[in-house]
Amino acid sequence: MFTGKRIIWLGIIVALLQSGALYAMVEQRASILRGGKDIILLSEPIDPRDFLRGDYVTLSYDISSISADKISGSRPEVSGLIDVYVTLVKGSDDRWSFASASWEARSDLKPEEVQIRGRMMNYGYLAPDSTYRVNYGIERYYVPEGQGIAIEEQQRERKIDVVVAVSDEGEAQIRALRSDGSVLYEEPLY
Amino acid sequence: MAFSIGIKKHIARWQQAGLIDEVTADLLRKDVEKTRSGFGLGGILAVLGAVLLGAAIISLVAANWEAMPRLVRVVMIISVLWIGFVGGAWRASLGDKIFSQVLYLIAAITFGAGIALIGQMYHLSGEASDAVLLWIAGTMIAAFCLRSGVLVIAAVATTALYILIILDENMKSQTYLWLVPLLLFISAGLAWYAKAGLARHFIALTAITYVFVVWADMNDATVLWIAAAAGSALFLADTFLTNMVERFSGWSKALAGYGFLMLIITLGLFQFDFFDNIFSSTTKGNEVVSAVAILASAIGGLTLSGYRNLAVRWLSYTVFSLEVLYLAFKTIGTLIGTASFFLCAGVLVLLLAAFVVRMERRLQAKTAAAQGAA
Repeated sequence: MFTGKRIIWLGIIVALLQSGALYAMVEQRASILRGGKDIILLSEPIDPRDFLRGDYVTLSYDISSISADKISGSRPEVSGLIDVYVTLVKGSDDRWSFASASWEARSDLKPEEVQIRGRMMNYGYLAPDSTYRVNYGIERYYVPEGQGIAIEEQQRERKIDVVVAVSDEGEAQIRALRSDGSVLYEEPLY
Repeated sequence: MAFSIGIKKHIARWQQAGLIDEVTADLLRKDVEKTRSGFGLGGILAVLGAVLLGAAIISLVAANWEAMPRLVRVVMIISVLWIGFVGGAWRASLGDKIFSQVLYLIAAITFGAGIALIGQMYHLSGEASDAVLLWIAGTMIAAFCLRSGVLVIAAVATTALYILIILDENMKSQTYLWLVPLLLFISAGLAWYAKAGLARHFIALTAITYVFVVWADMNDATVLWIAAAAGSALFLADTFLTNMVERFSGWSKALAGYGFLMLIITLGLFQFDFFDNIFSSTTKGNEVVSAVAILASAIGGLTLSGYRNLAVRWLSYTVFSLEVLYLAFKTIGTLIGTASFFLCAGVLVLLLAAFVVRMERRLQAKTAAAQGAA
């Protein structure tokens, strides 16, 4: 163990590093909300047993499962988590939906398109004709204790719209939850 | 602490009986004081207090999350972090060996809880294992910078937590297969650097847990064969190459003890027949072979290094006794009534006791002989 003045400085350095890591978590999300482009996704009802784990609502989207033949390019050989890039376009009802998907990030996006990055598990045995489960980091919304049920019920009637901010790199964060045009939750930056 | 009190009582008795003079008695007392570690009952209570306090702070912040704006909560978490690390470093600079560690521990717990709370408050839906990895990295850096034994133990404990979380995750990646050994290796380096002797036991236990988690995850008996081989190798290395292992690791006996434990657990798994396909023979044959192997290991452990390695000695006694009772229960236990079973069990336990007593006498003679020769 060190003694003397030097260790106090080391303590300060450790505290700085760790609070910096915590702040980075907050700021990374805030920067996506600040600079990202907003899209609206319809949240699908999923198996009710999975709806509420603890105090968060599980949100599932159309693009949460993608059939393999719709993804262009060749699947990476690495095992573990891999990225998949999904391009979305705005529909007539203001909601955004699947247009195309690719294993590589597209750089030739049209102005009316938004690209979102998902992650999925690459198992060796994945068949080319199967459906892949993709996560976008917007599958979980924590709610105050007891309020999850209300969202769950609305979600079951297919009425929850999730406003998502997507950065240029394709990272996504939830900005708001809406139902029939009324705002359920709106996320402040910090 | 209790040990040193007992010793002091003995010293007083020896002095009274005229076995040692006052000068020797004083020297002995001073030696006991000196070798007593600073981390006695008081230290343990202080650490427990730190864990409870950390839990209290976290649940307070978590419970009142509606009452406070999010940013206030983040600031609170970060303040506790600063109080813990800088306050602990300040105590350490004054030579305080207990409260410096206590404050570090509070800060390390707060960092982990902070990651979880921020993830929750800001709806970050990443993998739990990634969050724990961030926690481990932070704790390891802190342990290195502050050269703190308690933080090394905290890093090993969070590594064990990581193994548990990996087990639970459905989107499981294979990264942990090499990551956990790497983390344990770094922890071993940190334990050496921070002179944290106690942390080595945590590392050994986590390593054993890792081996069996890998087996359960891959469902591959090869892992068990490797575990048995590695365990035997550690045990035999300590038995036959004591000086070399001791010089290299400084921890020869304990390594042999943990190796022996790993061997025994493996044989136990074989016995409880988690898989039928290992031995081509029937299940019954499987059980007999593993029972013989367990008894042989226990006796081998006793005869080869029981006279000098206390950990192996008591592990052997325990395993041998449990195995004999288990076999008795399996074979004759089902054939006879409850009363006769208790009778048989009683006789068996008495026989085992006689065995242990005789063995102890023999081993002590052997220890004395070994010391005389050395």
